[in-house]
Amino acid sequence: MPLRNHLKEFRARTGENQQELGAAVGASRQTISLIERGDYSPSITLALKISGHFSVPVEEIFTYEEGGNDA
Amino acid sequence: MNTNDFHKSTMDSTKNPDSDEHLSKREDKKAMRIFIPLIIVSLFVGMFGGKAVITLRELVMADDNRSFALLFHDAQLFVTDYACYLALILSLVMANIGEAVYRQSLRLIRSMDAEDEALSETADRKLNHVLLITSLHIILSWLLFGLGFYGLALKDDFHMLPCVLGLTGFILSLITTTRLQQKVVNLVKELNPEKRGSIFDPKFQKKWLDTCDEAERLYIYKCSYAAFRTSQITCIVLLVILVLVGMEFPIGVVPVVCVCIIWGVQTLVYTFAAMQNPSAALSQSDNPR
Repeated sequence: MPLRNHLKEFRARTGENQQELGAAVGASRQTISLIERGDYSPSITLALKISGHFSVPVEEIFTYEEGGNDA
Repeated sequence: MNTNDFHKSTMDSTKNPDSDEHLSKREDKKAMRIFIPLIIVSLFVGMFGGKAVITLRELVMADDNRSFALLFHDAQLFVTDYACYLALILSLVMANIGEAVYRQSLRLIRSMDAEDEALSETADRKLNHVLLITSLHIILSWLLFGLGFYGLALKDDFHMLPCVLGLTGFILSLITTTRLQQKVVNLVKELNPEKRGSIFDPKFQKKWLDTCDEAERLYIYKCSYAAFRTSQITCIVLLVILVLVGMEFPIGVVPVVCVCIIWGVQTLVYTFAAMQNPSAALSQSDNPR
């Protein structure tokens, strides 16, 4: 999967659990878990909501790597 | 681009082995290598299936001179005789299996903490197993209900005991499956507070989908497409079997008509949904929360 992310690290910094982060960005606990494991690439809207929640540019959390397989 | 350029690019595209047109033709050729033998094999399967039915009939008739129609009638009586009793047994067995799996997942959920992903996934899977069991339970109880009461109608005199047992089993099945589904939905709502909807609400599916996020919706759509594709193949296979069986057994036209109705409804609903304007189909109201 070409979309890598540091969501788990950012979540650890704020001390939120998956349920709390999900509630804050309008996603379910399962979806947050899938994104962290790299099993699901979020939409642009959700990626922006997540980066907005942590007040960082989206590229700091999500990075696209050429040559990988799409999710 | 002038006319010469256009002709040149068109000619290039026909000569270029990697052009879209060539790739498309190559794909068609490759698929044909499977499609044509498949059609020939299907033709032979149909021929041999028909021949097998005729041979079987001749063998049975030569054996004890009974007609296939009579055998079919006897087989129906045999199956439908026991359907009412089976309905009651099914309602008790399936309800207990479903309840046991539900209790397992409930224990898991109560014992896990919010960050325990592995346990949480196991609990989710177990809850899905409960829903699978209740779905099978509902389908089987409707089947046995139908078979049982068809069997009772075939008989000349009225039999009270199987009628009462069959009806009790059917009603018990409806009550236990509804109760179990309600418990599962309430538990999922407890785990995911954003979820809304009661299973007693006629608009439950819509309300539930409204509270699903983008990943959950994608998952639901993928599962629905898998169900659609499998149902399409099932309808075709069932039609072939029913036509072959109908050649020798007095099954009537209803089964073939029913399968065609299911096939037709599925295909038409899918096609009309696909023909919708994409912006209307993916409108904001259908977008995840």
